[in-house]
Amino acid sequence: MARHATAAGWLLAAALLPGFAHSQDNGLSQTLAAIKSTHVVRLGFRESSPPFSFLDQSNRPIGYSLELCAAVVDEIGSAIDTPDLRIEYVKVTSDDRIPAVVSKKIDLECGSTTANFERRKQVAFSPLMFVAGTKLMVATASPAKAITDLKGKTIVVTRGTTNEQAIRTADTKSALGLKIVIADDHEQSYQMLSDGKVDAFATDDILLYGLIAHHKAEAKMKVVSDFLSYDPYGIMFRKDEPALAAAVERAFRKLATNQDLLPLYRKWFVARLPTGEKMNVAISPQLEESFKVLDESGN
Amino acid sequence: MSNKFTRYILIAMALGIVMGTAIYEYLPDDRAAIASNVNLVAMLFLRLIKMIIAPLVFATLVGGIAHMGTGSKLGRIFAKTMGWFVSASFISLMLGLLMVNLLQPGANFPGTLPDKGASTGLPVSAFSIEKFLTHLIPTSIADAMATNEILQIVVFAVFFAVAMGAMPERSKQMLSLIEDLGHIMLKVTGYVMLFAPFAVWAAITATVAKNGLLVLWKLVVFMGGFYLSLMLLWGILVVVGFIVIGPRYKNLLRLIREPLMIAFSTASSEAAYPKTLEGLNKFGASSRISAFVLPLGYSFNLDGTMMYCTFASIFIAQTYHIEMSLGTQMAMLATLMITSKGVAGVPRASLVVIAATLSQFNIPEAGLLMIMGIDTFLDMGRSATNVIGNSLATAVVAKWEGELGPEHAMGPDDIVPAGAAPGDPVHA
Repeated sequence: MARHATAAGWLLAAALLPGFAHSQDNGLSQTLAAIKSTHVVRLGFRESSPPFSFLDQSNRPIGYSLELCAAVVDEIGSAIDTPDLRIEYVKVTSDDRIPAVVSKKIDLECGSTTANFERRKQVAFSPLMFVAGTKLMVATASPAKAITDLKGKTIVVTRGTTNEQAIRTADTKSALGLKIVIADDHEQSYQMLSDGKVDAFATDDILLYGLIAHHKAEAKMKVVSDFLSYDPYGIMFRKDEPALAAAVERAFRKLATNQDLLPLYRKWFVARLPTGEKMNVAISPQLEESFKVLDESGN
Repeated sequence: MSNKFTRYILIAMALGIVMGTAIYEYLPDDRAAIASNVNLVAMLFLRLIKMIIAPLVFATLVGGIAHMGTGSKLGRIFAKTMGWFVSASFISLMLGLLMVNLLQPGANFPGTLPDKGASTGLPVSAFSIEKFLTHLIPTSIADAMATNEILQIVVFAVFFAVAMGAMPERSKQMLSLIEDLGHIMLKVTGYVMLFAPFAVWAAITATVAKNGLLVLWKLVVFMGGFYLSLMLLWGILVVVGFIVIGPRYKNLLRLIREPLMIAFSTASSEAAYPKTLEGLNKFGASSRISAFVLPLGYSFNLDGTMMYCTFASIFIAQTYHIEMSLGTQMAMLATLMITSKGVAGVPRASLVVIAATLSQFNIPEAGLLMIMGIDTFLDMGRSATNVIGNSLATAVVAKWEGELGPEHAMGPDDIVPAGAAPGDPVHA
């Protein structure tokens, strides 16, 4: 009997431990404390980063990232026991988005920001929300399915993009003998491919799909190849705030567990946008896998 | 019946491959939509299985342990079980390490490497002592059952059964009810299994329609190497099975053929649980052993997953030309030994464990983005391997405990009554 009691004691101790540890780091981090006192969460948005974050016809910020952020705001609300939080939208650009987070101008950046370790020195990121990467646009009639099908062909890339490096790496690695042409902007790159001056145009897949949608070129152009580079996107927020990070992760987990992430993805990437465009980007297996990891129901 | 059923499943798999390929080739614009619609059938099946698991685990486990009498016997079985799990995990991790060094699948990797600085955003925080303990002990048995936390159900069932054993007179009726519940759940399993061929067809069709079969060539060296290593692990497990259990082990392999194929097609070892339990009972493992060892194995004895952890981690190091000394690799093995047990009950744990291991050993975590693209196909092999490993573990512990009776010719509505000694004639 005594042995049983000891065992029960240990089990009890083990059961209590996590709850105890939890209550200790539950002291509100700065951001959450500020939100609790002002009842306002400031979301950074991008004016033209569809379908992640952009303005609709009546100039309201909408998009996939903003909808994810709204879920995070709900979660913050329940974490600080303040359900009636107000959202304030603050415009950010690709140049000032990181300083905006660091200087506390915004609480969550809801745009299309690549999560990497360089940036992680200054800010924190949510779980994966999208994987972008270098892919190829070719004419619909082209038989090419991968970059290795383009041996000796001409590829256009846009000046100053990281995609150029990705193409050069693939070129050397598989000894493809590509002719790489540089255009001044994405529009010009697109025109060169459209005019048949080049065989393929390489840049981030999400931009390629955007160009096809913009030019209504679904019948003329298609996007092919595996990722020739990877850009994992996430929601950005201040680092070293464990309670905030936990709320962000919890929001993602809840969405995943309730099977809401895939429909949310489809709403912004597959279905028609409120602005009338249709991105038509099928979910990448990487993102799908990442959503499954977050799904606590184990489906 | 069983042979016919196996044939149906094989036909379903073949049909799935053909139809999936046709959809992938001829309906490129609709394949994602078709795949997700077809996959509904597989999802329904998996939901039906999940519906069974909690009451099945609870009823069979309580029924089994309540008859054990003293707690010390339970402790001994637990020790043997864990001893086996740890050894099997070690062998699996070690084999993965050995094979990945031998085959060097990541050397001169032709594909695109993700930028070293990229971050996968996998929730590594999922692994912590706190999380492990909360995954172990339920706050409420209703919650544990509602969320299918097998380990929590096991913990509650053990308490419950030990208490019942302490008051045999008063709990007699309860025990008989719970035993009936176990029988009924196995009967339900029998009904649900009728859908298995459809689920297998749907799962394979959806996977192939969405990805195409050519995806298998993408990381062919890695995937081929991994499957070769899995085959080797199967070989080792089977040899060990024959050594410990004897020639009749081949009958167990026959009995778990169906759950094996179901686990492979649906990439879910859970889907195989009820049928594996039934197979083990037919094989003669007493239900007090199988009902205890098998659910624990689902948390702590995932041999395929273990092997994948070392294989994939070192593969990623190889692609980035990172030299891993023998000492470092051993340290990695030791870490994985612990972390992999710590994430018991976390879904898709292998990715999380690998992500945590990579960052700990300064290997770019971004490398995971490459293999995440084909993880479904790897998961199929891992899940099937887990079924083999768990059925073997259960049979071995039963053998060690002298609880491995002769094979029963039973219908799907029978389990060995927990009260009967092994080998006793089974009342129908």
